[in-house]
Amino acid sequence: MATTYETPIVYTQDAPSVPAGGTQAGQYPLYTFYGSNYLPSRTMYVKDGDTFKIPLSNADGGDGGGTQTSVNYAGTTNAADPDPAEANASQGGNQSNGSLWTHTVNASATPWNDNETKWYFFADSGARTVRVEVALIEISSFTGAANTVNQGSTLVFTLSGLTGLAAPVSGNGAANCLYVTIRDSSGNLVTTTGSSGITWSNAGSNGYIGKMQTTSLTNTLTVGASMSTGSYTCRLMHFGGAQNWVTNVDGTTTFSGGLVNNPFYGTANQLASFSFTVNATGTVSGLNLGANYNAGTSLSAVLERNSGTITCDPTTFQPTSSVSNQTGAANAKQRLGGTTNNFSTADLVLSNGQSVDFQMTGPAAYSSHTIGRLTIAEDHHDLRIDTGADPGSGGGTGGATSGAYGLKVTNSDGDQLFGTGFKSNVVILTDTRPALAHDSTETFTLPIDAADNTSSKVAIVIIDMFTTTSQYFINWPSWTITRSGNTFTVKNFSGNARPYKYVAIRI
Amino acid sequence: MAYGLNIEGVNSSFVFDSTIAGATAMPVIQGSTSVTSGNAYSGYTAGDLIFARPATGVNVISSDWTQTTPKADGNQEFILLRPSDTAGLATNQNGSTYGLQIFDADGTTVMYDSRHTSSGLDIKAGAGTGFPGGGAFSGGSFVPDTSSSNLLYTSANANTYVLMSTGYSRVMGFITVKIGYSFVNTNIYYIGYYHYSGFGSSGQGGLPSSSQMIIGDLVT
Repeated sequence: MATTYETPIVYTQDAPSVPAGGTQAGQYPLYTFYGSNYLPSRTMYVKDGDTFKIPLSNADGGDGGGTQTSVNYAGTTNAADPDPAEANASQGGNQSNGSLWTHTVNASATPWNDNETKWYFFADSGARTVRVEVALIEISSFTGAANTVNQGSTLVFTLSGLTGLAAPVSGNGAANCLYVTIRDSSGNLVTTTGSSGITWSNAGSNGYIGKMQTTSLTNTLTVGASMSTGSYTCRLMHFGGAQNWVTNVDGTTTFSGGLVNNPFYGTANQLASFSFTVNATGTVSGLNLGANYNAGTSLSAVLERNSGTITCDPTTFQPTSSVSNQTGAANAKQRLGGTTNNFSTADLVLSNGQSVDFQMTGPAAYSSHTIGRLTIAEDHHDLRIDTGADPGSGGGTGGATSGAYGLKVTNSDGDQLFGTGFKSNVVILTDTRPALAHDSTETFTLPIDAADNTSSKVAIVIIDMFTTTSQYFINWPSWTITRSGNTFTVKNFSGNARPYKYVAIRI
Repeated sequence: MAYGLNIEGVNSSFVFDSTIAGATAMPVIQGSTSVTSGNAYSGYTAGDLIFARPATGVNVISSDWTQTTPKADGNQEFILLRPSDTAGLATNQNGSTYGLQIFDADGTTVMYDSRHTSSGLDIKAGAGTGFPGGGAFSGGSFVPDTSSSNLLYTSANANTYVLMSTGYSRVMGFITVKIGYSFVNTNIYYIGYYHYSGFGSSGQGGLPSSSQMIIGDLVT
């Protein structure tokens, strides 16, 4: 929201060592309202759309004052910086003591590319000078890690693309901060901390106000175990000077106290916000991925299992589901049960009665195992895939060919080409299909038992047959295969209709 | 089964089952053949399965299926597998007057004929879908992701081949799309990515494996 600020009077100061007429360092002392505290190196912060008004005076500001009853504008550091509206075309100008020097910020205008402007003023032929520095705070995003958080859990807020904020000052934690605060659904500031309220990992002197700086762009909010459930908003603000600086917010001058114009958490200084819901904590039951799997001699077997229906207690509890690799390259992933979403390692937030599809990969070597884990709230289930010994690739020794029975076809060298101990590839179903529209599916029935319809026993190969010689046709194949019973379903998600051939190979 | 031939290995692993209607073996009908990048796989006809491995000095291989005749991306050694029920297959590659011949229920459709080939492809791994692909632009070129999440197989040797029928390789203006494999020592990784660079912007993303991959050792 655009805000109009009017600061207290800025006074010129005595005894610069260099006469007026230039902008050399030290010639114009920086005017700060807070000394070494919140704004040690800036006069004020603003955001895009804000209007700021700064009264200048050569009268007594504590050092006796000067003789001239007006103040001269001496320009900016860089001629391209924005000047006050009251400056003349030559980057000069003069106004009587107490007059306002004003500007409205347009962040997309070139003069604000460096996110700051510095205005230089003098009086009494340069015997008294002062400069004001106004920094434009901009961000590209401010987000929370999730839209829901359970009581007793944490939520990480992340800021990116920050420009205009001065660097932290060693030994002064209050300097150059942005502030994050929490409001409830009625707009009230949450000031309770601890187990019934909030805790910030990087907090100000008041624990309910979190801080962010150029060197710390995340802040973790811990939601107390007994904090009230419901909707909340996290707001990100820049420091905004004292309350009476704010004279207008989005066209209104009616303020609801500090909630609007407090210098730390007032919405007049708000840069961004993120809404989230605090849910009740609880427990889950029903998680079961079934028995471990022996892939035999199939390497890199991909196994999919459903978690079973998850029951939450209380039913309003929304548990987080996550996956992890416990042993080997298990490549554990998940998706919401009953969907055809892509499997992902990203966390899911479940509701009572939902389930999770869990996917993992078996070892890429013989006589090995991988273990993947599915964790939902306080419960977890580990699933293990084992591979057997190398069956050998022929000859008279080792593996499955060493038995006293079986069938073996060899070539003239005695190398086995077919039979027991030799893993063949037998096409059991294939067809060339006409173009399948984008986001459409086709289902086919395999001539095998449902129990054999796994990736380690039947490879389903999709051969994309879309042909084009145009280099400007920018779609590419994106097929998904899902298995159910003794059927499999092919889905085209490439963005255009494509013919294809499927080959189901018993391996 | 009332009749036919059912062959199983250890742990009831599948070898052959003639009661599966329409099943057909895929004999190796063309042994290892060289193809240079950008050229068609010689001898290929529709219905064949192409298995390949990188030629010496090459790691990443893919294939271009955007035209009727597929082409190799990266110098490769490849073999062709063709269904046993294909008419005209040679019957003198491994003896001619003896062997094992299996017919479908109609008594005429060949499901397997040991005379079709003197080579074999011993399947070592049937890797499923869901490998993420990806990678990053580094040092002036795109470097595919070869982390454990894309690892398909760890025991590759000089006779190990991968199914290329699911590959994809195409350059569309300033966009490059590739689906294939990277051979690194004894490891084989899935490769899947798109990368664009032009008109003042650049970026990339992973293409998860959407078709199943098969890895086998050629026996000759």
